[in-house]
Amino acid sequence: MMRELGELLRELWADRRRLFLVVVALGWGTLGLTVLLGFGHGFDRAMVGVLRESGDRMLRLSGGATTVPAGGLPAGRPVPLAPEDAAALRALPGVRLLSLEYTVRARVTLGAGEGPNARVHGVDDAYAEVRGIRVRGGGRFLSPIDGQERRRVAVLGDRIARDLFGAADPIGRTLLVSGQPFSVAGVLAPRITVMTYNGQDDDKIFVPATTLRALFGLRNPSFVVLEAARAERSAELVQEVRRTLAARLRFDPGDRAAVAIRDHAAQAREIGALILGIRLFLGIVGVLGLLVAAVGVANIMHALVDERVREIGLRLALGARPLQIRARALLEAALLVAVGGGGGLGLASLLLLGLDALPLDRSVRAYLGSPVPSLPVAAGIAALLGACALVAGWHPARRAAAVQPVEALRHA
Amino acid sequence: MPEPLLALRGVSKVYARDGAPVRALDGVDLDIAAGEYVALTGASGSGKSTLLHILGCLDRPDQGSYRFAGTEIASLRPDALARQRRAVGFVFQAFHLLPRLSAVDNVALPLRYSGVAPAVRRARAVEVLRRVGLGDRLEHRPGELSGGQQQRVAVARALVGAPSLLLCDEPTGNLDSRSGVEVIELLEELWREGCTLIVVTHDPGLAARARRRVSMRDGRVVGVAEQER
Ligand SMILES: Nc1ncnc2c1ncn2[C@@H]1O[C@H](COP(=O)(O)OP(=O)(O)O)[C@@H](O)[C@H]1O
Ligand SMILES: [Mg+2]
Repeated sequence: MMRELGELLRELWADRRRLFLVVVALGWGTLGLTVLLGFGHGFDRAMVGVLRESGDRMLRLSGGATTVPAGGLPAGRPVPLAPEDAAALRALPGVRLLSLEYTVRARVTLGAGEGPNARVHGVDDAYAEVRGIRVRGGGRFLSPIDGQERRRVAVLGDRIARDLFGAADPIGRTLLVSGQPFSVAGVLAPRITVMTYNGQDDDKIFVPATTLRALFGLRNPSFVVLEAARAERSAELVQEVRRTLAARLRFDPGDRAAVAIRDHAAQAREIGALILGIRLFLGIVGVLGLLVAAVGVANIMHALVDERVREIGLRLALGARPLQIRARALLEAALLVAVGGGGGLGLASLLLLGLDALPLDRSVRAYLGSPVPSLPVAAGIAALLGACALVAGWHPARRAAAVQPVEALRHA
Repeated sequence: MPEPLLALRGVSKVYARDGAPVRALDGVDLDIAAGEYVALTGASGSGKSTLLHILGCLDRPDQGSYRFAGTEIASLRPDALARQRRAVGFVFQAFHLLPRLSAVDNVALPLRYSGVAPAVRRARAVEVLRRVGLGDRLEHRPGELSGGQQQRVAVARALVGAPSLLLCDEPTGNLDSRSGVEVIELLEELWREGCTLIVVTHDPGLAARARRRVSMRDGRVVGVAEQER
């Protein structure tokens, strides 16, 4: 058996010039498919993560203005969202969590001297869960008590924390927001979100909504964010929220501009569908590439059989069983596919691992994911390659086994 | 009378060439006993090769019966047919060696198909190559050997499986007369050891060496002569 294989390899080697192109085509097809699927996989996982971090079951509300007359008042009336309206929404069964969100820009310093003009958001403790925010180890997000007692605590975005404190640990340190001291309770884990508003969270400072209201004399929040109890029913929740607010604030429930509602869950579903589409496309492209390569292998195999009619006839005349001839041709096709496919797989793995090791910017990485050569992808491709070998070798092998020794030997 | 080793009855083979059928063999009856030395002669195109191919199970008759040691060859399934072919040694005019394999690998090839272990194969191949006088050419490729040496490799390949029947189709046709005589003497040595030997030849001198001479014309056996030597 080993001798047989050795002899086969030697013969293939002798034919290397002609086989080269086919092997390259196979390698290329496999490489493409693996890298594409690897990317698809990494991208996919990254996207799922990014979506979750962006709050994939969240609605974001902000006050607008009427465009149709309602409640005896003309169109163009501003519709502010008040904390009481948010409280009414919190009572809806479709709402799991809710937080007000006040936004200001304020000078932030560590004492006397310069400091950035940063975005400071006043939010409730539920905000972190609604937005999928995680806090780095050693710290915490805002608590209910922080809100009730209007504590002067702050949770910092990753980047602004580094801007202010450098490499030092900010937890427990004090910073000044518009000259008022705040104690740092936590720092966000670095994060990238696809569905952003008012910039990336990395640059923001979060403080209790009650504290910010009192400090700046605010009344109405810029946004109300809430988490749907069931993400897949988000469209219905949007309707219900609109009806509830329309009744309280006396606008026409059909007037979509009166209150702006962003449905992140629906957006996440769309992105999910897009990802699926991309993967499907990549898969089809790769499979087609492999099919083309398989046709190439079949072609070469046919040519090899044609060329070797004499040799095959002789082997049969010397007592070879037709089955042996057939197995040999199939083995030959399998070897071609294994060399090409194996090379492609190996190269693809190297490429993906190399890319993974590349010091890419975190935001690029977030969108790209870490395209790794995953086991299921590799197994699937190996199965595909096996099928290619069978498809490519089957017919030529049958023809080889059907050679009539006498016809082959007459050609001399 | 015991059953002959080979028995042909009414064997015909017809080829269609440019529409017109060619009767390569036309009702051949022939018996050959074990241990015989037969020369098959006749003009080119008279059907000698076709007959030899049928005897070696490389071809099937369109009509008639061919029995080898009592077995009807037409009834054999592919695997049994392959086994039957292994019981026959064939030497061709054109050698038919595999150019990519060394002499010893060429000779060992039939043993592979009879399932002999690799180490044994090589030992046996070396042994028969020594016997045909090529002990010093084991690793040469066919292209590196003279015509006479190539045909001796082919003879070695034919006898490596210890066949009871040797079929030779103009084995000296491509050789100079000295190499030709060497090969024929080698074949006769095997015959003397008990092998049945059938040689197709144009050469009257070679034909005269056989014990029986079968003449063919237009696909028919037209004469059988016993010969003294
Ligand atoms: N494959 C074939 N197709 C058509 N005609 C063939 C074929 N093989 C042999 N013949 C014809 O059959 C006849 C006998 O051929 P062959 O047995 O080779 O004769 P010989 O060996 O005596 O020269 C010839 O006329 C030859 O042309
Ligand atoms: Mg002939």
